Amino acid sequence: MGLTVSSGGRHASSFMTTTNGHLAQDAALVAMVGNPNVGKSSLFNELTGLHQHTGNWTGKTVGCTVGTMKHRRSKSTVIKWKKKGAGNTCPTILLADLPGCYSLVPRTAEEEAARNFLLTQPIRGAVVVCDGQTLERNLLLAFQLSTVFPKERIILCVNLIDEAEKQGLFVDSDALENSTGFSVVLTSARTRRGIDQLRKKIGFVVETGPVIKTDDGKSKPEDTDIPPASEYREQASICAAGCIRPSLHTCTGDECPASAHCEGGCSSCGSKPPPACAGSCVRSTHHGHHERKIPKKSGFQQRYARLDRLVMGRWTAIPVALLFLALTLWITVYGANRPSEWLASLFDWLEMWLWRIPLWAHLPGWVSGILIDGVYTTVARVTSVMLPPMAIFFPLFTLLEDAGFLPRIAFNFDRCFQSCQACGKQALTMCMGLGCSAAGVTGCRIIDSGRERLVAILTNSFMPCNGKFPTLLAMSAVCLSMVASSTGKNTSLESFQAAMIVTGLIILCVLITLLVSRILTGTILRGKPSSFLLELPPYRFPNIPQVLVRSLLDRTLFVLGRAISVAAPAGAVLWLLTHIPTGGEENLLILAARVLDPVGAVLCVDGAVLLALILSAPANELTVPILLMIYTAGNQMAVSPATAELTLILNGMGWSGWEAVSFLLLFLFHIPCTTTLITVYRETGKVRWMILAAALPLVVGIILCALLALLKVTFIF
Amino acid sequence: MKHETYSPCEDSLAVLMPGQSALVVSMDPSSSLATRLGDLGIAEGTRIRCERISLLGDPRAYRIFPGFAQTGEIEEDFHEIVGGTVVALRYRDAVRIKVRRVPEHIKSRQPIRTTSGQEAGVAWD
Repeated sequence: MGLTVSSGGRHASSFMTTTNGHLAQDAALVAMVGNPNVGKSSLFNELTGLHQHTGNWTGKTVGCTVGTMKHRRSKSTVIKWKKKGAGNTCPTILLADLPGCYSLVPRTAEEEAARNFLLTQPIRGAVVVCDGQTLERNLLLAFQLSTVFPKERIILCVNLIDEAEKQGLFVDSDALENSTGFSVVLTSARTRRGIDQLRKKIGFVVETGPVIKTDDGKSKPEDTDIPPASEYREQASICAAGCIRPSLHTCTGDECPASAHCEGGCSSCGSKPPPACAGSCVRSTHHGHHERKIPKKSGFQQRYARLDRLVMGRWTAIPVALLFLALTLWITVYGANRPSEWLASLFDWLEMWLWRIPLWAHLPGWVSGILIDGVYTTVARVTSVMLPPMAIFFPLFTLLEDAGFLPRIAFNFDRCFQSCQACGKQALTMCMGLGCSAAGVTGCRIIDSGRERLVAILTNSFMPCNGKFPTLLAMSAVCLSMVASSTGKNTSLESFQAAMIVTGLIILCVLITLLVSRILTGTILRGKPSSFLLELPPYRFPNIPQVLVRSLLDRTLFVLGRAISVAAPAGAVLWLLTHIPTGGEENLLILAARVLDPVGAVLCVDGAVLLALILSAPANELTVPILLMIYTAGNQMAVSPATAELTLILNGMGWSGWEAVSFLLLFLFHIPCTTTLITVYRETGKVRWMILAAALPLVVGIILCALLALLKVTFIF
Repeated sequence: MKHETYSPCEDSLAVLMPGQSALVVSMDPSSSLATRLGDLGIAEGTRIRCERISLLGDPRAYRIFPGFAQTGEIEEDFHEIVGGTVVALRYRDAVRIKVRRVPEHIKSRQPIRTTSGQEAGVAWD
């Protein structure tokens, strides 16, 4: 589906800008193309292992991953290259994983990027990845490619062979090779079948012949270069005759060679020959290679049908979706508790050692203060709170996506979004936003229509991200105990009730997202609803080790980088605010909080809350620590206390149930974190959308809190 | 293999209930949707079957079978074909695709529950 965009991945310097046709002498570029959902990325990961990086297209927001393929060369090949005078080195093979596209006549930015890549980069070979179950449709791309590429350089890789065989479809690779003219490899990325053969064929394609030079990208490639898809469709329909349909009997290439097919008709099914049959017609491939059987009692079919009835059935769809959501959140939050504690203690222990450095280097007090007290503790705090939940949530999410559940969720809830003039895929970007808002914004690339994509981007930060959950849970518990103490009820089962409150808050966020989407499409982003086309792929068992490794590597490194780059300055600023002498008892932090008190009163909160929200713009995990710093007049970030202690502190500062609820609302709906805003700017390219993305949640938060303040006033009087 | 022809009766794709099959007769060629559907394999002569209606009523899932049939000729075993792609289409888009319904008198197949038209689990025997 394209959701596993390497959204949070390391953005190495763009492959396109640095090379731009000037590849190193000993590097050979091979492109991997194919329809979405054919397992191209798994294949790519198998071939390249961990030697890959992700770049972005210049000027566009489409991801492209490039990796080096492990390539074992035989002795004879080395000798051959030596004779050619290429020196000792055989070429390094660079594999480029292009975005999935249905045809080379582009309809989306991704397809355009893939086509431009194929036309402008000096590619030495191409691998077209197909799905064994939908081979005929995938061949369209291969034939389109063969108009601009010699056939000897194209490898047809029929992937997901194990899934096809479970359904009873067997592919005869020799017959396919004979009829199409491409070299064919049958693979299954999950069971690693055929991977070595694919490697050999890629190596073979690369090492024979010179590099193909194409246009150097200065002039825009014209559409006439590639015949429109309709031409191939015409060929296919002309050639399609009676025996195209998957037949009940076995029909291998031996029985019906392509020539007999075209002239005399099929000997086994006896149907009429087509009026005209061009050489490389799709039809002969249908007939020549597939041996289809009706699965007598295919357990998989029944199981999949049962699963579909559960996931998409009338009464079970919503409970199942809620169950999935609740399970994912529960595993994320409670599974991350221990690792967070371990990380926190690790960082504390490390800090002890860090304090030796200023002693040894005789650094002045304020330098070590800023660096260790400020920067280090803040970074450590953000990392230990943020890293474990993300390391759990994203692999879970990717597993769900690989298994095929996510398109079905979009299918179930598209009606809600239709009534808001938005796209059903927004449900998925909202789920991604539960993990990390920035990742959700990047994930909006799956929405084709620009207008609907913008709606999804602007409303993405209404969903609370992983970093907000611990605070939400803690504050919900505080809220409960405050309300309970004022009404005198018992507060056992506290954590369960807090979880219920957070679930309710998430539902509130969903409703507000829908409302704001409707308002946006009614006012600024008006337009015709686009055609919604969604493929529902069959259920697949995901490659769990690969998903875990990739998710952990991509997410972990990204999170660490973000924590350091964003939290470090915040830490420095905090330290300065608490240590700059003001000539009085209180530091700058507390003074600033007092200044904001009147503003806060309108919204039923403290000035301290406002200041904490402002200062935690880089990372939402810092809000409660900063708040505590202000309240306890401390100058160091301390570990978050337990509920009872927290309630005590807040009660002491004049909080009641109203203030706690108001804090929750404002915490959910305020300016998104800076990473999200930067990502919005990158994805949309315009500053005004970034400003709107910042303003929308803030306005909603202000309205809600003002209403609450009004309610409080009317209650009391 | 017997082939059957039957009287033409054109409807739009949107009227298909789960379990019902049809042959695509024509699509509005000027719309961009037509070309995108073509990439997925829907063109004149495509065999298509409605799999399911979404729980809120709108997008429907259709199974598209590979290959093309000449209009007017349908195999009797059409309803037992395996494979193909499942695609979700909204009502407003499905209305623009004209199809010809295929009658359902096929032998060895368990009856589908069509009480409310909502259950579309195709049962294989």
